[in-house]
Amino acid sequence: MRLLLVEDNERLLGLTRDALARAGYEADGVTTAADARTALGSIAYSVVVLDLGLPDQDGLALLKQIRASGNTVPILILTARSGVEERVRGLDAGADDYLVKPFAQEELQARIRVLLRRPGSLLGRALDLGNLRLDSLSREVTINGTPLSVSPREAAVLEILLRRAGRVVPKKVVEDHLFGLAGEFSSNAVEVYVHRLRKQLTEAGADVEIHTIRGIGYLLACSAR
Amino acid sequence: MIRFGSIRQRLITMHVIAVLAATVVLPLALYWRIETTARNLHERALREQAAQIAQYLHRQADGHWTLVLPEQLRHLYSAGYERYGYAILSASGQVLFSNNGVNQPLSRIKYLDDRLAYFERQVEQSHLFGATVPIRVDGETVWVQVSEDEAHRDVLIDDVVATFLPHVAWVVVPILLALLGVDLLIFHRALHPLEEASLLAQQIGPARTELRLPEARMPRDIVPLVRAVNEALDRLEAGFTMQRDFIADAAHELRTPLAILRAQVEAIDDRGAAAALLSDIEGMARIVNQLIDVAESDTLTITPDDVADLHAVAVEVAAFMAPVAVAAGKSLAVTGDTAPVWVEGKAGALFPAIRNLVENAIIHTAAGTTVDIAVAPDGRISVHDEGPGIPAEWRDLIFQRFWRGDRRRTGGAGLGLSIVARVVKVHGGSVEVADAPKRGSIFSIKLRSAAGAGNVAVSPDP
Ligand SMILES: Nc1ncnc2c1ncn2[C@@H]1O[C@H](COP(=O)(O)OP(=O)(O)O)[C@@H](O)[C@H]1O
Repeated sequence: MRLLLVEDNERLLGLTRDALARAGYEADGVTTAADARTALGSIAYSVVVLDLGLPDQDGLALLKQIRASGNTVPILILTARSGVEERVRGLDAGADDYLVKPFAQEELQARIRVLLRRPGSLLGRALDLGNLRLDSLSREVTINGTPLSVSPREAAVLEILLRRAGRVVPKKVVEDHLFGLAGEFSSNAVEVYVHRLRKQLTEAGADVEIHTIRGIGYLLACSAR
Repeated sequence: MIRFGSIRQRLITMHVIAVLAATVVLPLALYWRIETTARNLHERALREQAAQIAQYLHRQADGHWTLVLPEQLRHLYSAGYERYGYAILSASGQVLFSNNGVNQPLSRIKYLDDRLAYFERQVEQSHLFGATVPIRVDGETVWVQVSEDEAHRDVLIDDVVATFLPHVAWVVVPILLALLGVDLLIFHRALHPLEEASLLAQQIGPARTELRLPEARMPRDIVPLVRAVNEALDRLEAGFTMQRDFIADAAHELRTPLAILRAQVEAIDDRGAAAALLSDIEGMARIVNQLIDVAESDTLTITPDDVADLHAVAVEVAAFMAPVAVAAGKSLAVTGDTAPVWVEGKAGALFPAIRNLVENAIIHTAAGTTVDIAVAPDGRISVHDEGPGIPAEWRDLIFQRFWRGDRRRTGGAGLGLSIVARVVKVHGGSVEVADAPKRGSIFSIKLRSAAGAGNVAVSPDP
């Protein structure tokens, strides 16, 4: 699993690469659109993190070129522009996600984790947050290496929350993930799973917590130290 | 000199004065004109009468005068008819003939020169108007005096003159009033483009710098002024845009250094020190965001076509801010109806406004409490915190730019609520703050419902 970072500011590039390395991601860094094209031509990257402000070419134009060449690699845009229109333009040009500077490294990693879960990708199999680990293939959940006894449904809930750790996951998204579009389920099914998960996590001494954001959904985050 | 409020007032006042003057002067002038004409006619008739009588006057060889009037004239001057009179005087002023039987001149002749003279006399009921005409007959000058009794029933001309004034006045006054009405209409039409332009000019401001006064339909003498104003607006707009873009660009430029700073701080092993620095960086990032919000809200305009789902915006803001709240040991909730609440407005502008309210609420609410965002179907959104609340004496101040309550405790720049106020104002809504029932404060924004939009959005599938 290899990531490509395209960012013209070398300091930010270096710091981000180091942070990703500490989290277990291997990343190549380039500072120009030309270098990015060369790198993409020779290596099949799992995710590209693309800054829109490049010295030799507009980032959006590069993005369109990558898509036009048939490359479907997940691309996360990094930008100093926060307007709604900018976001829409980026997503329209073929980006998969969008992150505004300044960002938390944890947030960047959480988003990369979501992008890694693409059909056919075996990479990013183990999902970690604090002392919690979930194997996305075997659905095994451990705290500090000690397994928890969670049902497959509970593991599925935990997985989707883990992939978007640090972000609010709408309840509707969890339900769709669990039951599909046509599934029959009781309206409080997700609440029941979350309740049981919470109990087990606290009992096992996890340093992560599932927060309920009433009216929207759930948020998995490291407990405030 | 009287000072007039407006051009229209000035025109109307001047015009009314002119019309009033015309109402008085016009009939008088007409009256005077008719009277002189009538008098001239009258005088000519008298001279002709005198000449006619003189035709029948002759001097015999012995120096005696004879006057043989034909039947028809005799009848005219008969005593019974009483309308006309005559007297013929010799050069020395002695009466030769007269129809009044008393051998008196109709009017005493003052100077025996040969000048034509007119006279007027009041005799009992009759009002005599006459002429003394010197005429040469058979080599000698005689004075022929003729008169007419203007009070006589057959005399029409004076009646006409006498009744003229009241009658004409009643015709002239309505015509002049109608003219006044027509002129008011003309003034209105002539001034209309100016009034339209001034209404338009009122809308020109930081948010609508692109508006220009229309030159079409403007009176030609006003066009140079309009053009000059428009050119001045062009220059203002250019300067304004430059300044606004500068603020936004500068703020955007700050984001990359902040990202570097943040990445460095996150790499620090001392978690305690890192946490303090991170919160400072977040404060700076908030100010950067607010500068961009300020620049954007300055150019914000809303048209009736802009509709937004207030509930969706609330959910978006809550999802955006929840990680911040959770990291601060607090929580967030969206309560109230979950159905869309359509309001007039732009989601892209309402988002930063509500985000600022929620940011404030998260900062001020007590640890372990939940900030509650409630959306009501009538287009109201309220943010409820459990913080210290806003003292009554602050409530008018907090919405001002750069106003901060406690400068030492929060690292804010005092921009947040001014952005809220600005966005809400452009939306034609209102924002207010109240004490929450137990503790803390409730900030609520009321926006205009977009009644029609809801129907479109929930129209059933065919
Ligand atoms: N929810 C709140 N509870 C208590 N005080 C508040 C709240 N919101 C704003 N204030 C007060 O109003 C002042 C101005 O707020 P604001 O304009 O948003 O500034 P800033 O952008 O710095 O937060 C703050 O400094 C604070 O004292």
